[in-house]
Amino acid sequence: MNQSFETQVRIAIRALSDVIAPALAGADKHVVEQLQLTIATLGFVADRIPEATRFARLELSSCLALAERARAIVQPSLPAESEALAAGISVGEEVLALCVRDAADCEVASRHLREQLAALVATTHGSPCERDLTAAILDGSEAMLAQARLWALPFGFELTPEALPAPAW
Amino acid sequence: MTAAVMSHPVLSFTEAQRRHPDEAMIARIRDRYPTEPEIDAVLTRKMRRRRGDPYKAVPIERLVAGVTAMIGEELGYEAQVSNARWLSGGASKLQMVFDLTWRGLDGQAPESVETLVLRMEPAASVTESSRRREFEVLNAVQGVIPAPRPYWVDPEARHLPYPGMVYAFAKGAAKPSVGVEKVSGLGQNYGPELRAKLAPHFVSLLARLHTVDPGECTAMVSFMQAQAGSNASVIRQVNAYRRIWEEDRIEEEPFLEVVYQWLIAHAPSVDRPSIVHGDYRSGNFLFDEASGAITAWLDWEGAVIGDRHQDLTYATLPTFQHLSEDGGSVLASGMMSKDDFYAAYEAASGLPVDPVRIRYFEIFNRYLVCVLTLAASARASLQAGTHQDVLVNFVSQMGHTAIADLRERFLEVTR
Repeated sequence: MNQSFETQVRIAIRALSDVIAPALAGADKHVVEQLQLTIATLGFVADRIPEATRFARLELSSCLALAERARAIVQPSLPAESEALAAGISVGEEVLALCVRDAADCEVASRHLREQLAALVATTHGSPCERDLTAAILDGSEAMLAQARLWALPFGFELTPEALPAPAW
Repeated sequence: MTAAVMSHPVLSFTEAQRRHPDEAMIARIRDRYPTEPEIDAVLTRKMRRRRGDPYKAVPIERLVAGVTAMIGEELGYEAQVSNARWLSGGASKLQMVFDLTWRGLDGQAPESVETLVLRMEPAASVTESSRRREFEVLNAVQGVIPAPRPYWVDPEARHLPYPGMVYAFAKGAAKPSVGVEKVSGLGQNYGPELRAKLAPHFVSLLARLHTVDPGECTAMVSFMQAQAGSNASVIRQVNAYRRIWEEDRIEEEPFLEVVYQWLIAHAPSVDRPSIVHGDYRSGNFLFDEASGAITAWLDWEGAVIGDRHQDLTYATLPTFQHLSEDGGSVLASGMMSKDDFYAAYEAASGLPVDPVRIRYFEIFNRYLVCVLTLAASARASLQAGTHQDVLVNFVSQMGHTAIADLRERFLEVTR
């Protein structure tokens, strides 16, 4: 590959910004708006492509840590759910250990664990372990949500980006 | 009377199932998250439509033909549609403005030209909603607060490619024509002079809307009434958003399940049912710049009969606020501080603002925003469902900020 994906996306952005946009000066507002949004979206992609695998691995690591914590909480009272979660954790750890795996594998494993964790929240509602599990989810989600906000920073929705933590990926 | 919290089996669907939902999946979700019949019908239609083709660009000529046929059938005589052009604005609906040459609703008036708007949904949307309900609520609020006059609705897309409605073109500005000082915040800044005129109207119109007796609104037949003393209407709404989360999400967020359980367990009873706009905020109304009067409230698609605190807390969401020019206070919907807003509302409506319900609906509305961004918007753009997927995808990215804000407020409210 003599030209990286990032470079190719940036080339496309330049063409849209420098050539196409001026030619659409008199076009309908929604046409110009969609062009501007397209340029911004491609800008996000160009910024993040080089870091995508690292970010996906970070997310998977966070999901695994939270899942381990949740499993310890529910194991005494929900052995079947705990075993299912252990299987999901095992798959996630295997994916994470293989550094050659791409971001998509990490995403699949993360999403599976997310589904399992949310299902546990629903299952344990009203049970003795509800409180501990809720606390673990709230606690564990803090850093994960902050990293997701950082990841989406190029879209420009953060009022005070400087208040966010440093990227952990 | 309070709706009971019941234990249900946990649903589990794959991404492949969400992309191509079968009837069994749809039925299980409908059964698990019961809501109002019309909302159920709209969401069910969305899921069935998902099995079909992605959204295809609709030529304006197709809309002109559809709206001409629709109006002709309604009027019983031929009326001319001309000067059709796209109307920009909004992330969810496709809108066309046009001139109608006609002789009035009964065909007996002298020929005249009126400018109208066709508002049609695409194949998928940020907010999947009912054109029938939007049409009904617009009828119900005529003479109560300024809103476009609705004329005709095609709720089952008999004439149009997708369900749509026609209403009068409302005059007014959505933003100030002259630049205002840059302030910190995402919300619309109207500037100090205009703000001073708009703010009292912003409050008094909300008070007027909420003091209408929904039981008297015979036009709102697609809405379920909310019963005073019951939380059933609140739970129906929470379930509607939880259902959208189940149908549309790209990836699960365990924290949102915690919030859903809390919303069900803590749903307050409605003390006095009101017509709730559902999207009452800066940027959703037109105004006359000279007088500072609000000329039309727009985007009624999220209207419900429910608890007034839903609108009150929606208008104060962080997304719609900004700092005052001196940096001294946070202006809810670019109007006034939250405390001043609630005090002015109490004075204008004669209705109390209950801190407990305020806290509940602060969580409810934040949950709603998370669902609409991280699930509905993300899914609509993923499956090429709209006429502006690039915008809808952009909107979905707000969800990361929104969910962090929800978590922060949730911790404050529950600890």
